[in-house]
Amino acid sequence: MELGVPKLDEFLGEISEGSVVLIETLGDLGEEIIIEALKENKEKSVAFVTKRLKEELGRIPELKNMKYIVFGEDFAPQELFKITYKLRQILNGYLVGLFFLQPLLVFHPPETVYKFFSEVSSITHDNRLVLIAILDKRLIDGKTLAMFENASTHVIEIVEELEKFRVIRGIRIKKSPKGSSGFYELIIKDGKVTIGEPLG
Amino acid sequence: MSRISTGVKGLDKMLNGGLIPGRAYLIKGGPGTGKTTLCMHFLMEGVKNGEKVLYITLEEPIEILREDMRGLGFDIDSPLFVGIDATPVKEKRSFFEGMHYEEFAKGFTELVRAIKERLEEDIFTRVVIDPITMIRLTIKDELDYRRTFIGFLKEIAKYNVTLLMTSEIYGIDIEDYLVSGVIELRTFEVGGKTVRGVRVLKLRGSNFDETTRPYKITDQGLEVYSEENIF
Repeated sequence: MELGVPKLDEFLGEISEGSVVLIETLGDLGEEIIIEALKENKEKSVAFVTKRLKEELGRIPELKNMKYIVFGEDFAPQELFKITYKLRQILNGYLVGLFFLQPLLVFHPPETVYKFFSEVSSITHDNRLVLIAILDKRLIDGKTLAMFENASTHVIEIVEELEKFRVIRGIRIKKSPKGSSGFYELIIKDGKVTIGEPLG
Repeated sequence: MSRISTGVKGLDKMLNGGLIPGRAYLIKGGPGTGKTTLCMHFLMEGVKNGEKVLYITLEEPIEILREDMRGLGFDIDSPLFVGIDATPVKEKRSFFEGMHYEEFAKGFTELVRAIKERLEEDIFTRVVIDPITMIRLTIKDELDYRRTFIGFLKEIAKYNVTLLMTSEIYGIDIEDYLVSGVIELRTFEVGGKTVRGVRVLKLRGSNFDETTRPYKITDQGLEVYSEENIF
């Protein structure tokens, strides 16, 4: 499976079934990568979203008919089993977009969210799915972040640097079966993701 | 070892295939946790297999229960389902031939006698007493209760029925030690939402899933998510 972002696909190669791709970012920067991937694989995609995000994604013509599993943002940790249960019902070879870690980390302890992510990762592996999740790294400490990375097969890191008054966004492959990469410029314009020249 | 289904697929998985037949089990949980619904699943599974089953209610009037269970789609009007109302609704209400609630309140042995008589009249495979909390209240002395309860289990065992009893008592109690299996239904209140968890505390002669698994009470009864965790 490919993400639909040319240079990223070149770095990552074919993402095999059973893989968990974690995008470590700031806020929802890079959400567009998941959206590109869902568009690229729209025939075999499912997205776990909040109501707000479903409305947003629904406005993208290619994602209009995609399967959405919608949950409220005030989800209690005891109800997380509903997500793992739904995930088990998804057929082999499907791409799953998980936009849920951010609101969970705002409302619940990181250990609980990690346990959940670890379970999600295990189901992804067992059911031969491909899962892409986005995580705001400011919401957890370094130790917890390392655990999230450990539960993922691929990690993409997004950073933001200020150069005088200019914001430069960088992206790199932090972990993948093909190895890691240096930072490249990340350009997001009109919802389109482009990987530019190497940084530094 | 042979197994019989509880009628709830997820719970059967937790029990490593189901209950071991011919034994007594305790279903524990607070009000509204679904103890009676679980018992109905168990009895209706028997009805589906063409077995005759016996339900004895000691608290909720049988007509209300029938109405509720019809709503969940249970075949409660099947001739294979025998329901006995032993609730103290009316004064001197007769629920077994020649026996009244007051008499029952005076002694557990009266109830045992009445159940035995019923079991001799027909061949039942599955029996439910819902709940036994009332029985407990009829015997003040703990030793007496223990002795009587053991006697009751021995008597029932002669009829080769699988017996389910419900209890509202939390924590470990005498019955927990005397029965072959204990299943606990619990609710957690989180942010105004009720989340339910089922746990097998004991299953003699078998291994079982010791994790608390989430469950829901749907319009078709209990649904246990035997592979999921409560985070």
